[in-house]
Amino acid sequence: MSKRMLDARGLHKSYRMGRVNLHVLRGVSLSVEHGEFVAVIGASGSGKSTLLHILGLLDKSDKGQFILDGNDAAKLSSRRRNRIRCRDVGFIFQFYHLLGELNVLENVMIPAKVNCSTIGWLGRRRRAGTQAIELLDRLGLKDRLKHRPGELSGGERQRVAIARALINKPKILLADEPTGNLDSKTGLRIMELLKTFNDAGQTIVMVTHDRNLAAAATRTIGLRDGRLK
Amino acid sequence: MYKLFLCLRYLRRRYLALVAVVAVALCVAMVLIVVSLFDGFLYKVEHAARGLCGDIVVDGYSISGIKLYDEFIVYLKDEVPEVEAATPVIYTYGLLRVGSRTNTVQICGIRLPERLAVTQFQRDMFVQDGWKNTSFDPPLEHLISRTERHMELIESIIQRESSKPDDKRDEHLLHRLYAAENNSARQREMLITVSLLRKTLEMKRRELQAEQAKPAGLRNDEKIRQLTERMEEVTEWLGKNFRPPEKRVILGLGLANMSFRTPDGDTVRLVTPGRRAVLTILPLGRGSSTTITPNTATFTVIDDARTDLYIIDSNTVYVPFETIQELTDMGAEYSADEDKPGVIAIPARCTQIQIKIKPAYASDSKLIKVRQKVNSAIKKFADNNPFFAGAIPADAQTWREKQAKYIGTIEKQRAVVTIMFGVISLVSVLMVFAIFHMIVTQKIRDIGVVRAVGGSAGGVMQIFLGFGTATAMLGSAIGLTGGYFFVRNINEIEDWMSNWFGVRVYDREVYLFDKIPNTVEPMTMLWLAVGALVAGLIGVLLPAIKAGRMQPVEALRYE
Ligand SMILES: Nc1ncnc2c1ncn2[C@@H]1O[C@H](COP(=O)(O)OP(=O)(O)OP(=O)(O)O)[C@@H](O)[C@H]1O
Ligand SMILES: [Mg+2]
Repeated sequence: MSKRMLDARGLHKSYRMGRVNLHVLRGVSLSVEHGEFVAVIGASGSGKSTLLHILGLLDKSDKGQFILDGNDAAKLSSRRRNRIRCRDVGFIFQFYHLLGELNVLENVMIPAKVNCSTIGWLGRRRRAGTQAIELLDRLGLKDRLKHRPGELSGGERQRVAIARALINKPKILLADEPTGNLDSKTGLRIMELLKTFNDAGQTIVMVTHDRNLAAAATRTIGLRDGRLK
Repeated sequence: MYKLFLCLRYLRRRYLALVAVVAVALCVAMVLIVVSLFDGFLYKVEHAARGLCGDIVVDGYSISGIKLYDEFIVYLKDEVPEVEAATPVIYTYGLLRVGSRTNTVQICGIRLPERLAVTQFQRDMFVQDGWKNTSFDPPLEHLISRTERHMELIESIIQRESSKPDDKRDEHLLHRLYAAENNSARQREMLITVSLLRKTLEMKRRELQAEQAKPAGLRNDEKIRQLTERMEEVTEWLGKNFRPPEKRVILGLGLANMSFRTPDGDTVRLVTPGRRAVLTILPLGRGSSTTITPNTATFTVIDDARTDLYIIDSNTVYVPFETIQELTDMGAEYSADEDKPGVIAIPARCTQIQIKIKPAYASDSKLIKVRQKVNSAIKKFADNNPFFAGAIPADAQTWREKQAKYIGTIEKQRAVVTIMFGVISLVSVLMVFAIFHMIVTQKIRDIGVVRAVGGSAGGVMQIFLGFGTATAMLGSAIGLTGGYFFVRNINEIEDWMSNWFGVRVYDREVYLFDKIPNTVEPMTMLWLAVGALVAGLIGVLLPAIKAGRMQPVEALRYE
C-alpha cells in the first residue's frame, strides 16, 4: 500500500465572529500512513477539534488540499462524503454524543444501520448484532448492553463511543480527546485500548492536550498558532 | 433503515412526542367540536327557517293584508313554472287561555293539507308525527292511543324518580309529573266519552232514519221526537267539548307551562289533545274602525308541533286559515249598497303567501332568480287587478332573506363563532407547529451524530417527516374519535353537567333550539385529519430542512 491514508496540505480555517475574524488553522500540513497512531497535541482552543473535523469530512477547510485515502475532499459529492464518513472514518467525539433515546447496543449499531439499505439490513442484522456485542465485550461493556447512556459513567460512555466509531471497521479512527473528561487512571485504560487496536493495524489520529497520553502514539505533533510544529 | 428505527424510537421514548400527540388530539377534537356544533346550528336554523315559511315568502305591506290571494296563486303557478305550490297564511297575535293559564301567542292561520306542500308540518308532532296528511282532524282513536302512550311514559318516569333514594329524589319534578298524568288521564276519559257519544249519535241517527222511513201510519212520532231531542243533546255536548275541525288548534311545543322537559330529556305534556283552549284575537283586519273589540272563540287542542326554533315554538299556535280570517275580520266584506247584494266590497285577505319552489330550482343562486320572476308576476298581476294593487304586497323574499329578519341574532352568533373558529384553528396550527419545531430543535445534536456517521441530509429529514406524520395521524385519530363522541353525546354531557354543577350551559330560553345539535359531518373529519397532517408536516419540515442543511459539525455544536 503505497498510497497514504491521509494527506493534508496547507489547510486554513477561520471563523467569523461579527467583525472579528478568528483564524484558527493557518496552513496545517499533515500526512498519515496506514497503521500509524498519530497524536496531535495542542492547548485548549488551539484548533484541534477543528482540524479533526476537517480530517473526518465533518467540516470543510477554507483553503488547502486534503486527500483522504486517495479521494480529494474538495471534489467529493455529498453522497460520496456521506459514504466515506460512514464506512471509512470512525469518529470519537470530545463529548461522546450518544443518542439518549437508544440503549448502548443500539447506539453502537447506528453506523451499521446507516450503512445498509432496509433489505440489506434484514440480511445483516444478526451478524452486525454479534459484531457489536463482541466489540462491546472487548471494551468491557458486555453487561451494559441494554443501559441508556444516561445510566453510564463517563468512561463507560467513552467506550461506547469508541465501539460506535469502530463498528463499521473504518480505515481511520479519529479521536477527539478521548480521555479529556476522564480521570487519569480511566484515561490510561482508554489509551491502552486504543493502543491494542493500533497494534491490530488500526490507523488512528488522536488530538489531546495531555502530553502524557501521547506516549502511546507512534508519532506526536504539536499544534500551535494554527500550525503543526 | 435507521430512519424508521429512529423515527419509532423518538415516538416511543420522547416525552414530548406524547405531548405532541395529545396537543394534536386536543386541537383536532376542539376544532371538530366547534365546527360540528356551528354547522349543526346553522343547518338547523336554515332547515327550521325553510320549514317554517317555504322557499319564497310574499308579505303584505300593511296590516290589511294581501287581497285576491287565491287568484294570485293560480296566476303565479301559471306565470312562474318553477313554483310548485303556494298557500296563504295569516299571522296575528292574541291571547291563549288553557285552563287557568294565559299566554300571549303568535297565531298562525294555515290551510292544512295545502300548507304541507309548501312547508313541513309533520315533524315532531304529538299525534300526527311523520304523517303525510297532517290535518286539524286526525282520527279520534289516534288521539286516545297517543294519550295513553304518553301516560305510560309519565308513569315510567314517575317509577324511575320515586325509586331513587330520598335525598336524590326530585319532589318538584314528581309533583309536576303527577299533575301531567292527572291531566292526561282526564283528557283520555274525555276523548273516550267523545268517541262513545259519536257512536251513540250514529246509532240514534240510523234509528231515526229507520223510523222516518216507515209509512205514515206506522210511524211513532213520539219516538222521533225523543230521538231528535236526545240527538240534539248529544250534539250540543259534543260541540262544546270537542269542537268541529274548524275550531281546532295545534299548539307549538314549548309554550310556557304547557310542557316541560325532564332532566333526562323526556318531554312531558301538561296539555294534551282534547283540551279546551280559548283564543282572544284583536281584529286588526278592518282598517276603518276606530275602536277595536277583541274576538274570542273556543277551540279544542288537537295536536302539538315543533319547528325546532325555540322562539317560534314557545309562542306560536296554529289554527285553520278560514277561522282566523274570520276572527281577525280579514274575510270578505260585502257592499253596503242595497242595490248590489252579494257584491264584494273588500275581498278576503291573508298576511303572507308562502311559496314552494321545485327542488331543481331551490339552490340559493337559482332561488334569487325565481324570486325576481315572482316579483315581476306580482307587478303584472297588480296591473290587471285593482284590488290587488290597492295594497301591493311587499317584494318577495327568499327564505334566507326572510330569515335575516326572523332570526337576525343567529347571524351575529354566526359571525362570533366564525371568528372564534378562525382563531382556534390558527392557534391549533401554530401549536402543532411550535411543538414539532421544539422537538426537532432538541434533536439537532442527534442529527449531527447521524450525519457524522454517514446519514444523508435527506435521510435525516425523513426521520422527522415520518415522526411528524406519525404524531399527527395518531393525534388526529385520537382527537377525531374523542371529538366525535363528545359531539354525539353533547346533550347528555350538558344534562350531566347541569346536574352536577347546577348550571345550565345551554339555556333553552336563550338559544333557539331545545337540543344542542349533535351531528358530525364525515367531510369535516376528513378535512381535519388532512389539516392536522399538513400542520404537523409543516411544523417538522422547516426545522428538518434547517437541520438537513447544516454541516454535521454545526449540528453537533448546536446548543
Ligand atoms: N463554529 C464556530 N464558530 C466560531 N468559533 C469557533 C467555532 N468552532 C470553533 N471556534 C473557535 O475556534 C477555536 C478552536 O476551537 P476548537 O474547538 O478547534 O479548539 P480545541 O483545540 O479543540 O479546544 P479544546 O481543547 O478546548 O477542545 C476556539 O477558539 C473556538 O472558539
Ligand atoms: Mg476540542
